[in-house]
Amino acid sequence: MTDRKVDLVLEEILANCQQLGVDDYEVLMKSASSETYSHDKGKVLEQKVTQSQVLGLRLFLDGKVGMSYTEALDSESLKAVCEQAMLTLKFSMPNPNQLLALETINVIDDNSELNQDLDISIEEKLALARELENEVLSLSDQVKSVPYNGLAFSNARTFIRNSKNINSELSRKQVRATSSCLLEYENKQAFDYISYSYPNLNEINPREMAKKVYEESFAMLEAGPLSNGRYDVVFNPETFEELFHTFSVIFSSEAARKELNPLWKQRNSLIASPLLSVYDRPRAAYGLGRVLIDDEGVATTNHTLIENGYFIDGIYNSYTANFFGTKSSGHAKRSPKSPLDVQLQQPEIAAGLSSHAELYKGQLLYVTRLDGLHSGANLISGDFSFGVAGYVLEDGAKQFSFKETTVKGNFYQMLKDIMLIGSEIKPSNSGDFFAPEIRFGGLSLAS
Amino acid sequence: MPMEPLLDPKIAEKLIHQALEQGADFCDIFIERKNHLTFKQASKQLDSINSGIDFGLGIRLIYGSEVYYGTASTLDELELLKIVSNLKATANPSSGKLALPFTKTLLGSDLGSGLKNEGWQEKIEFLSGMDKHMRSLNMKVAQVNLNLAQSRQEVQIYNSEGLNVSDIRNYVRLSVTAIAEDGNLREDAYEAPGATMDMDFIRNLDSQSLGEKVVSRVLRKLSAIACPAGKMPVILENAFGGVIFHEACGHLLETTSVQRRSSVFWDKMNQQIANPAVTAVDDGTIADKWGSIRIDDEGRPTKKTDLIVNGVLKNFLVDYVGHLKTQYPLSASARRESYRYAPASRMRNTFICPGNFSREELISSIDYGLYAESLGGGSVIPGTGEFNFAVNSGYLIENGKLTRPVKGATLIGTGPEILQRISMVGKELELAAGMCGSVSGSVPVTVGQPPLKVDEILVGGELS
Repeated sequence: MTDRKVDLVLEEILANCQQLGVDDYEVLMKSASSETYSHDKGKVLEQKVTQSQVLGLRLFLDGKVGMSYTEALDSESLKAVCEQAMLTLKFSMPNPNQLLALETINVIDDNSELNQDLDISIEEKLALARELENEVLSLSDQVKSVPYNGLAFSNARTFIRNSKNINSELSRKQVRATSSCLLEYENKQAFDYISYSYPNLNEINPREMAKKVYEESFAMLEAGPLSNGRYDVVFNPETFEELFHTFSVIFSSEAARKELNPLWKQRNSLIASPLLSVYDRPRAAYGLGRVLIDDEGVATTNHTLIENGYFIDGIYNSYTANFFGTKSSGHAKRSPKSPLDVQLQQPEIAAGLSSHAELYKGQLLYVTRLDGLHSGANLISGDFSFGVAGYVLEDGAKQFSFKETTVKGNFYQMLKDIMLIGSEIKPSNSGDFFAPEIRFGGLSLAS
Repeated sequence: MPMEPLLDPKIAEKLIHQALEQGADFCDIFIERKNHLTFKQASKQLDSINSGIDFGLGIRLIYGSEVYYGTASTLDELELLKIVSNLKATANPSSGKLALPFTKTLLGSDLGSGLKNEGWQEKIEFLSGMDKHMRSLNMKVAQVNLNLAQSRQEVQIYNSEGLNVSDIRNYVRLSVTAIAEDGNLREDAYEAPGATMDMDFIRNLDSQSLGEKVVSRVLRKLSAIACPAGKMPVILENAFGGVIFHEACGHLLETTSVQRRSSVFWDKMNQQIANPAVTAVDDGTIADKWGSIRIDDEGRPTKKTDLIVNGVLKNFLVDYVGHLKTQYPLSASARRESYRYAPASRMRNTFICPGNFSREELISSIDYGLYAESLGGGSVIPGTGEFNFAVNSGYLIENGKLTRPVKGATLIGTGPEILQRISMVGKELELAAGMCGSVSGSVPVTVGQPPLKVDEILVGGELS
C-alpha cells in the first residue's frame, strides 16, 4: 500500500469519526507485505507474495466502548466500520476503566538501525532459498526430504491515530529462514526443524543451519526411551522460550482482571528461586522485538517482573492499569481485529553466576524438543505434561539421545526449584527472547 | 436469493488470461468476504463485543506443479493484473494453454439467516443466563468465561478450466470455560460445540446441560489424583477422543505430506496400516457439522472419502496440486483459513466408524489402565508419525472398573504403532468441533469416534 493511499484512508476514517459525536476515537491500522519462497527437491514448491491491510476502530462514549474492523478500505467500507462500531458501543456494558489511553506519545520509527537492505532480486531470493534445501540434501543419502524450508521476507507497518492528535507510525522489515531434515535409515525416521529471524540477509548461513538440523535428526535416529525417574534438566534456548511464553500468563494483568492469573495475588511475594530475575526490555536495541510504543501508542519502558525471586509486578495496558489503579506499563497488545490485551515485548532473564562447568556438573538431561505445549499445559494450575526429546549429559558431555519419553511437572513449582543459572545470556532463534541456561531440579520423566 | 459476484467475471477473465499468457498451466482465483461477530462474557458481565469484515482474494498460478500465489484486499483491476505479472515463473516457457469460458457456473444461495445486525440482546441474555446457571451449581465455581462467535463467509472461485462457483458458509461456536477453586487448588474445564449454522444452533442447544457437564468435570478435577505414568491400555471416550485418529493418522493421509514423501504412509496404499477393527472416513457432506462444506476451496462439490476400510488404507486426502504430484484421485477437500493461504489437502469431519462393543465391555477388558474421558488438542510430525495429545481428565481402571478420578496427562506414540493397537471399537459414535492448524492456516474440523480401546500407549503422568 502506498504512503499516499495510507494517508487518504486515514484522513477519510478520521473525518468519519469526527462526525459520530463520540467522546474519543482511536484508529489502529496495520499493513503488511510478505514474500515467501520454498522448494521441493530443487523445484519451486511455493512462491507467495501477499499484501494485507486491516483497519480497527475503537469508539468511546459515555463510559462505553465500541469496536469494529475492516480489511476492505473503500469509502463504503470505511462508513460501514463506523456504523458497526457504533452498534457494538450501543450494546456494550458501561465500563469506567476502559478509556482512550492518555499517556500516548507521537513516534515515527522505521527501525532504521535494524532494517538493513533486504531488497535483492527474485532470482537471488530463489537461489538463497534453494540453498536452504540443497545444503541439507547434500549432507547424506539418508536425507529423505526437507519438508519445511525457505525464506520469508516481511515488511510490517503500524499506524496509530486518535482524537487526542496522536499520529504514530512504526515499521519493521525482517527475513525468516527455515530449514528441516527428515532422515530415514533402516526403517527408522527422525526429524528436526529450525527457523531463525534476521534483520538482514548477511547473517543467513544455509550450511550452518543444514548442519544443525542434520546432526540433531541423526542423533534422534538412534534415540530411544529413557529410564523412568527424576532428572535435573536444562532446556535449550528454543524449548525454554516456548515453555516460558506458554506460562507467561502469570505476568498478565488482563488475565488477572478476568481472574485467570494464578499468581497475581502473590505480587511482592517470593514466587521463585532467589536466583531468578526476569525483565522486559522492549527498547533494547540488540533485539528484534525492539519497539518504542505499544499498540495504544503508550511509550514502552524497561520493566522488572521478578527480582531475586520476588514477583515485582505484571504488565498493563491503559484499561487494566485503570482497573488496578496504576499506570500503563506500555504493554498494550491489540491487533485491529481484537480487543485490548497485554503482551511481553522482549523478555530477558538475568544472567546468573554459574560457569558452564558448574551448570553441567554430573548427570542431567539437555532438552531439545517439547511436544504438545499448546495442549499439555494447564495455565491455571501450572501443571504440564509434554512429549520430550534430547540428550543425557555427563559433566556436559553427550552420552546418548532419548525420545519416546514424557516430562511431567508444574511450572510454578519449577520456578522455585531452579538450581543454577548460567552466566551467559543467549538470544533465542526469534531474536526477541534472551536467557541464560537454567538448571532445574528433579523433573519427572517417564517412558 | 443468489449472491452477487464478489469479483466481476470480466476482471476474473482478464486475470486468468494474463496468467496463461505468461506461461501458467492453471490459474484459480479465490475471493472472500467474511463477517465476524463475537460476544464475550467474563467476570459475570458482558466483557466485549467485536465485529468486523475480512476481505480479499488469492490468485494461484501453477506452472507444471510449481505454485505461485499472490493476495490482495482490493478489486482494482490494474493492481490485480500487477499481482499476476509478479507471479511469473523464472524458468517456464509459455504453456500455450487457453482459458475456458466460465460455463461451470454454480451460484450458492444464502442458506439460513446467517449473520445480521439483529438479535444482539438475545445473545447477551443467553450468555448472562448461562453464566448465572453455571455459577449457581456450586460455590467452588470461581470463574465462568463464555464466548459466542459467529461468522458468515462468502466465497467465489474462478479457474482457468471454466469454473465459476460461489458459496455462503455460516459458522457458530460457543466456548464454555469454568474455573473452580478449593483452597490453593485451581482447575479448569472446557467445552466448545460448533456448527455450520446460524443462531438456531444456539437456540436448540441444551445450554443448561452443557454448563452442568463443564462444571461437573471441573469439580471432579479438584479432587482428582495425578494420572499415573507409563505404558498402559487406554479407553478413549467418543467425540473429542477422535483427536487420536486426527493426529496419529489423518494428517499423514493429506497429500501435503504424501506428495513430498514426508508421511510415513506415503507408499502404503491398499496395505494394512491399522488393526482390522478400524474403518475411518473423512466426510464433508454431513449436514450442519462444524467441518462440513458444500464446495471445497478449489470449488469442487464436497464428498465422503473412505480413508481406511477394515484396517486397509484406501484413499488419501487430495487437493489439486497433490493430484498433479501423486496422481491419486481428488477428494474435494482442499481447504484454507482465508484468502491469505493457498489451498491444501485438509480434513473435514474425520472419524472412526462404530464397532460392536459396549462401553462396559471395553472397560471390563482392562485390569489396570486409563479411561480418558475428556481430551484436549494434539500435534504430529508427519515424517516420523510421532504424535501427542492431551487427556484433561478421566478415571483409573482397576480390575475392569472405573475407580479414582485422574487429571492431566499427555499421551504420545507413533501413528503406525497406535493404529495397530486399536483392538476394540465401541458402538456410540459422537463428533466434536475443533480447529486444526496446518500449512493452509487454521480451519474448522470435526473429530470423532466411538469409545475405543488402545492396547498400549505411553501416558505422561506422575511417577509412583
